[in-house]
Amino acid sequence: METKNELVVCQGLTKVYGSIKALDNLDLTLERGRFIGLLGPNGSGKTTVIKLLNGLLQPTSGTVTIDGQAPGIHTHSVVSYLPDRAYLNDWMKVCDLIDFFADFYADFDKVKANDMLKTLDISPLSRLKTLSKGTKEKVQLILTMSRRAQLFLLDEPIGGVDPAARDYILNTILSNYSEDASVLLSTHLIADIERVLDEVVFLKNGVMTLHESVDTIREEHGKSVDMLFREVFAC
Amino acid sequence: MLKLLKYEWKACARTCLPMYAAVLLLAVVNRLTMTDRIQELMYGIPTALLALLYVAVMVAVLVVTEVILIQRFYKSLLGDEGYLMFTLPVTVSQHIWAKTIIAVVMSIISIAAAVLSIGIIGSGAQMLVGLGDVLAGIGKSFASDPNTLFYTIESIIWLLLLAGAAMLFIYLCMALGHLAKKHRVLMSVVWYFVLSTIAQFLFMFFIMGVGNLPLEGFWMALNDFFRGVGVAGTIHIGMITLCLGTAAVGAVFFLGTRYILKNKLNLE
Repeated sequence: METKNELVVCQGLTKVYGSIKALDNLDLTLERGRFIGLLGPNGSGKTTVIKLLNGLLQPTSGTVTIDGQAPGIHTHSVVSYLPDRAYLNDWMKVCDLIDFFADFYADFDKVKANDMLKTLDISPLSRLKTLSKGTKEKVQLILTMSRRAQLFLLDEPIGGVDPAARDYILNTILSNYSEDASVLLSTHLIADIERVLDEVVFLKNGVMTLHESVDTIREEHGKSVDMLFREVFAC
Repeated sequence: MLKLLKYEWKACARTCLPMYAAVLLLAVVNRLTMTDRIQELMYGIPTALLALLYVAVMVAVLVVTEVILIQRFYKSLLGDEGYLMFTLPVTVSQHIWAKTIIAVVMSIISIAAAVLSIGIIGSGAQMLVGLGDVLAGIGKSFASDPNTLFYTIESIIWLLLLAGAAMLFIYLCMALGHLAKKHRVLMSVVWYFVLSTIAQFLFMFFIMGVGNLPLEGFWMALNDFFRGVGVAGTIHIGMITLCLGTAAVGAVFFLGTRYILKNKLNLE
């Protein structure tokens, strides 16, 4: 049972850019049904991990599997990914994008997407080009969260949106992933998401310094994740 | 696969088709101003300007189509949009196929638009009669010698293959350029020149080498063989060999591009 519950397995995962080691020998196993925070300061390798999981980068050495398979068609169909940048065609209308996602992802829920657009007051007929940066990010997040994926990889999903929307988005994330799905969310805004986290992974200069459940941290260290983070990464 | 084609088509068509429409419209306007009375207006300056504009647009259409096709590949697979495209549950081969097919189709449409616009400019009663004669002539030759029909089909297939292979060559250069850590666009251009120079050299060596090889017996046999199959047969064999050769070269470019995008992809 224990092995079947593994969703993501990284073994000796290393990525080198030129002379910089972005990720150094990462061994990480993530289980299903968890909300995991991937935390670390800027340049600690968070985005590198997420891109490796998506097959957008090839590891220098080591392996990564999701749902038992290396990144490929199968993993793409079970992973819902929100990149750290604007990655959508900006000449498309929001409704075109919804059709696009519905066309390619069998697990995409159009009704849910339209509901969320309505709640956040975004017109499906507006072109992405005309939307503000924050609104674009909201659209991207809505598209990502409207899938019934097994793993959600969210790279800095709340960085660019206002605090009010941030709460809505977090609730959206929470209410939109099912029992056996996991969320891996990278951020440095820990205080905002601490209440929803099950476990955390700390990255520092490409090395994992901590992987523990939030409850354990509170019990053993007697402090919040935010405080621990400030302590570990103190300048 | 069909969905990829659909979206690729939409993405290209939204800029290309209005451009083609503009060309045709300009051709019509030019045609209408080609009457004596208008040409005498203001020493013919407006007509001359219109004609100039028309030529400029024609050139622009062909160049811009090419640029758009190249840009589509670069932006949607190797740029930020690659984050979306490469996380779709779709194989790399399907991506390359979709891009190549739409590129070939777009090239055909752009050439068709250019030809049609020239037709409009030169149109008139005689033109239509002339066109009719040409078509009748083609029909007659097809009927009298079915080989002509097959030559035409073979030529069309070859041109399509050639267009596809040419596109794939550019894709391969971009994929190779993408392997560099910096200046990826520049490296793509460098690869383009390096590879085309190498190809030229290889071709030259091949031609020179084949002539100098001690293959007298082979040449004699080939000669006899071709004499046996006759002129038509020789042309057919030649065309089919050309098609197969082009397809083979295209396949090499395809596999190279696929290998790089699949195993060496590093989006930054």
